[in-house]
Amino acid sequence: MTYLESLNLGLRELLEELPQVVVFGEDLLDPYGGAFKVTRGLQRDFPKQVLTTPISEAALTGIANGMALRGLRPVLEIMFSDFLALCMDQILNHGAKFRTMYNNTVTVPVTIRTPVGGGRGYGPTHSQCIEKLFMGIPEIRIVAPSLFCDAGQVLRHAVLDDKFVLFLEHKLLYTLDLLSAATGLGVETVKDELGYPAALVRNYDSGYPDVTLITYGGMTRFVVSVLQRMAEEEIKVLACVPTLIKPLPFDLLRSAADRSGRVVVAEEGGLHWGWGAEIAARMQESLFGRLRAAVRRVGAVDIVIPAARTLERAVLPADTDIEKAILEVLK
Amino acid sequence: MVNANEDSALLCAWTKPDQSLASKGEIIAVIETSKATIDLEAEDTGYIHIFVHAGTQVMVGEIVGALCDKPDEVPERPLSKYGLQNDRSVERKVTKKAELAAAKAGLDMKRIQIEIPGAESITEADIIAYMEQHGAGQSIAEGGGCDLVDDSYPRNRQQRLLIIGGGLGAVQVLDSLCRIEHQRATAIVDDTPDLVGKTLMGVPILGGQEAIEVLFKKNLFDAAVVSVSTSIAFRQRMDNMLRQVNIPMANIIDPSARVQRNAVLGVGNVILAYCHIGACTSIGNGNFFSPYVDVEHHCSVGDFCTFGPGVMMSSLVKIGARVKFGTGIFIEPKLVVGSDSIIGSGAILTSDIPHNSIVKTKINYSIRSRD
Amino acid sequence: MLTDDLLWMFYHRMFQIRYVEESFLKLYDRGLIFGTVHTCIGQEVSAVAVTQALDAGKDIVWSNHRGHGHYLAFTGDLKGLVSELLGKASGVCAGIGGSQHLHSRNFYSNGILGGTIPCAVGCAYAEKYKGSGGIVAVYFGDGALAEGIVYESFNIASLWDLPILFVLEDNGIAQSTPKQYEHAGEFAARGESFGIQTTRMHASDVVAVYGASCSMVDEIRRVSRPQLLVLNTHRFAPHSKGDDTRDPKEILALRDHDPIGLHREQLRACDEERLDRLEREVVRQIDACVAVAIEDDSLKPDWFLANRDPR
Repeated sequence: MTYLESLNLGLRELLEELPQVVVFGEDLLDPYGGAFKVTRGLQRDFPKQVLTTPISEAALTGIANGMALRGLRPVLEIMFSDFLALCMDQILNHGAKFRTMYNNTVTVPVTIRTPVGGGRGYGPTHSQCIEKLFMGIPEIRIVAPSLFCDAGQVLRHAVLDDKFVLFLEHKLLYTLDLLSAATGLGVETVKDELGYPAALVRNYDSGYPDVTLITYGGMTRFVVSVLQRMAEEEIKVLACVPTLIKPLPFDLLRSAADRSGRVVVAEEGGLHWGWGAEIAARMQESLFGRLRAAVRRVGAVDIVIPAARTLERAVLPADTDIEKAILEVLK
Repeated sequence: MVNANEDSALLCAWTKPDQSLASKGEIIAVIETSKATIDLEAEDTGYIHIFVHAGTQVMVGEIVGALCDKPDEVPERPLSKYGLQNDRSVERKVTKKAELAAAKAGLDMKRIQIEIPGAESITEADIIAYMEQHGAGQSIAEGGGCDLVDDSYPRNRQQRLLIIGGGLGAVQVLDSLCRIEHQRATAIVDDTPDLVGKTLMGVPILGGQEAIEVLFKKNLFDAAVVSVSTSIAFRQRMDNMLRQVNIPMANIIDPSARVQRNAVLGVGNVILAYCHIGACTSIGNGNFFSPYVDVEHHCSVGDFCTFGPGVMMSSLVKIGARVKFGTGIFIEPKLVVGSDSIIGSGAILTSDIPHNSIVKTKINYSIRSRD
Repeated sequence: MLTDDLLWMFYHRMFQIRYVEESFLKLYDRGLIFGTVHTCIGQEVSAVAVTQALDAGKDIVWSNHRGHGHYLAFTGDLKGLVSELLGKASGVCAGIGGSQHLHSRNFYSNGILGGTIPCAVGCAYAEKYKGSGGIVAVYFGDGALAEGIVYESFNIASLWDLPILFVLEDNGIAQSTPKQYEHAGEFAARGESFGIQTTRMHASDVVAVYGASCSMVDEIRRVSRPQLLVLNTHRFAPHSKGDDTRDPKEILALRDHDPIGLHREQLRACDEERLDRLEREVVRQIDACVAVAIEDDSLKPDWFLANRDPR
C-alpha cells in the first residue's frame, strides 16, 4: 500500500465512524479530489462531511478553531505547507492558546494536514519544510508519518488527539510503498509516550550500534539505502524514526542515542535553528560524558530552494549528506 | 625465473616489510607456481617499495616492486618488461570502519593494502589482526583504548597514568600506586627496545617515547609521570615534551607520606614513602623524593630536583631547580641551595650553596677485611 | 414583556456594566489591576440589547478586547469577571486569561483584532452542522474592519449560509486613530457586497436596539443566513488607560448624549425611589464583590504549572 493510499483509507475510516469529523480544504471537489489527491473519492462519498472551500487559509484555520470548540473534529487541508504562514496567527494566538487561557475548560482538537518538502522543482515557495517555525509553539503537536508506519493510522491517532495537531505529509512519499521490512534490515515498531508509533531500524543483528541516526518524514526515504550502504562498510547504524516530532519523544531518542554514543540528526528543513538543534541540546543535557562525539545535524542549506533541478539538489539534503555525517561522528 | 609453461604465479608473501633495507642477494619475497615455491632475491641493495601486495596472482613480466635509494621514495611504476600495463592497482576496497580503525592506529593505508594478504575487501577485523601482529604488545580493541566502564565515567574513574621509564624508579612508583586508591598505571613507556611488549608488575610496556602521544590520543591514560630518578636532564626534557603536546602530568604521593597544611605542589612530582612535606611549603614540578625526605615547614623546592633517601631540611630552606641530592643529608635552617648543584651523600650543610656547585663531604672511615 | 419592564431590566444591566467598568478604572489607579483594561463605557446599549435577544442556553457570543460589557450582559457572571481582572483564583479563567481572554459557558473572547471572527464563523458552522438551533453573535469594533480576515469570514459565512450575527460597534475611533484615517468606503457596503443583510442603527435607545436585534436573531435562526448590525455608538473612556487622544470637550459633548443618562431620566420620571434602590443595590453588590476578591490570595504559580501539560 502506498503512503497516499494509506492516508486516504485512514480518512475514509474516520469519516465513516465519526460524524463529527469534517474534512475541508481547497479544491477537494471530486473528481479532482485535492491537489495531491489524498482525499480523492471522499467528497463524493461523504458530501456532508467533506467540503471544498474558498482560498482563505487564515479564515479557514479560524473556522477550524471555532468548529473544534463546539465539538467537531475538523481536518483542514492546507494545500502546500508553505502556506501555513497565512495560518500562523490562528494557530499561535487562537488554536494553541484557548485551552490553557480558558483554564482547561475547552479543547481544540484541530488537525491541519499539509504536504511538505521539495524535490519536485516547484520552486522557493512550494518546496519548503518550515515546521521548525511552529515547533516553539506550546500546546500544539507536530506529526510527520514516515515510510515505516501506517500513515493512515497515524492520521487517525492525530485526529482523535484532543490537541491541535499539525500533520506533515512529504510529497515525495505519497507514491512510495510503506515499508515494514527491507533487505538486510530489521524494523521494529514501538509506541512513544503519547501513543504515536516510532520505528527502530537496524542494519545489524547483535551488539551495539556505532551510530544512531534520528530522522523523520521525507528523509526517511533514505534510511534503507543508507543503512544498507553502511552495512557494506561494517558501520552499524540504529535509525530511530519517530512520527510525533514535537513534543520530542525524548526517552525513546535518548535510549537509542545512548546505545551508540554517536548521534546524527537528519531533517529536510534548513540546518540551523531546527529540530536537530533542539535534539542536540537535549542530548548534551542528558548524555554529556556518555556521548563519544558531538551531535551532527544534516539539513538543507539555509537559503531559498531553487527551482532548477541541479540547483535544488545542491540545496536539499540527500543520502550522501547523511553518510557523510555518519562518517564524521565516527572520526 | 618462472618456468616456461606458466604465464602467472602467486606472490605469496613479502619476507621483508615495505620501505625496509634489503641487501643485494637477500630474500625479499616468496613466489609460488604450480610446481614450486621460489624465493625472490634482491637484485641490488636498496629500500623495498612494494607495488603488488601479497596474495596476488601476478603475470609473468609484471613488476612487483622496486629497490630505492631512500626508504620513503615512491618510484614511478613502470610498464612491465613485456609492455603489460599493470592497472591492477593495489587498491582493494577497504570498508570505512577499517579505514577509521587504521587512521586511529596511525597506519598508512598504502602499507595496509600491500601487507594484508587476501584479495577480498579489507575489513576492520583485518586491521585489528594486523595491529595485533605488528603493533603494540597489547591488543587495542575497536575504537582504541575503549573501556566499557571508564569511558562512561570520565569524572569518577581512577586517574589513569602513563609511567615514563620502566626501570627501578617505575617499580617504586608502581609499588606506591598499589596503595593509592584514586590512581592506577595503565601503561609504561621505555626507550629500551627489549622491554617493549613485556609487563612490569602487570602494567604493559607499550613502546618508547615516540609512543607517548599516540597512546594519549588512544585515550589510554589521563596523565603522565616520569619515574626516572637518575637523570635530571631527562626529567626536564620529558616535562617540556609533555607540555608541548598538552599531556597533563600527575603527582604520585605515597599514602604514608604526610603533606601538611598549606603545602603547595606543582605537577609531575614523585613523593615516596614516609616523606614529610611540612606546612606552608612550596614544591615545584617534576621533583623526585626518595623515602624519608623531610621538607620542613616554610621550605621551598624548585623544579626537577632529585633526593636520595634521608635528606632532612630544617625550616625556611630554599632549594633551587635541578639540584641533585645524595643520601643522608642534613640542612640547617634558612639556607639557600642554588640551582643546578650536586650535593654529595652525608653532607651537613651549614652555609648557603651557590648555583652550579658541587658539595662533596670527606667522610673518614676505613675498610678492612673481616678475616 | 412590557416596554417599561424591559427598560428597568435593561437599565439594571447597563448600569451594572457602567459601574463595574468605572470601578475597574479606579482599581487600576489603585494599582490593583495588573495589566490594562479596555472599558466599554458609553457602549452599554450594544452589549445589553443584542445579548438579551439571544438564548444563553444555546446561542454563542464572541467578543474582543473590549468585552467586559458583553461578558456581563450575556453570562451575568459578575464575580468571575471581577476576580479575573484582579488576577484571582476565583476568576472565570483563574487569572490566566485576564481582561481580554474570557470564557464561560457559551461566551468566548480573545485579544487579537479580527481573529475572533473566523472562530465565530466556525462555531456557527458547528451549531448548524449539529442541528442545535444555536446561533452566534460576534462583536467587533470599526478598527477590526481593516483586518483582511474579516472579509474572508464574511465571504465564507455568506457562501455557506451560516447562522451568525456580525455586530459592528462603530464608535468612530480605533485606539487613537479616528475613522477617517482608517477606512475607505462605507461600512454597511462591506457586508452587503458579500450578500449579507445589513442594518444600521444608533445605539442610543436600548429598547429599540433590542427590538431590532430580536427580529434579526429570529430571521437568522429561521433561514440560517448571516446578518450585519452596524451600531453607531460612542466610547467615553480612553482606549485603555490614559490614552485618549480626543479633545476633552468632544468627550464631554458625547456624554451629553449618554444613553444611560437618557434612560435614567426616563426611569426617574417613572419611579425615582425604585431607581435609587436599583442603583444602590448594584453599587453595593459590585463593591462587595470587589472587596471579597481583593482579599483572595489563593492563586499559586505551582498550581498553574502543575495543572498544564503543554506537550
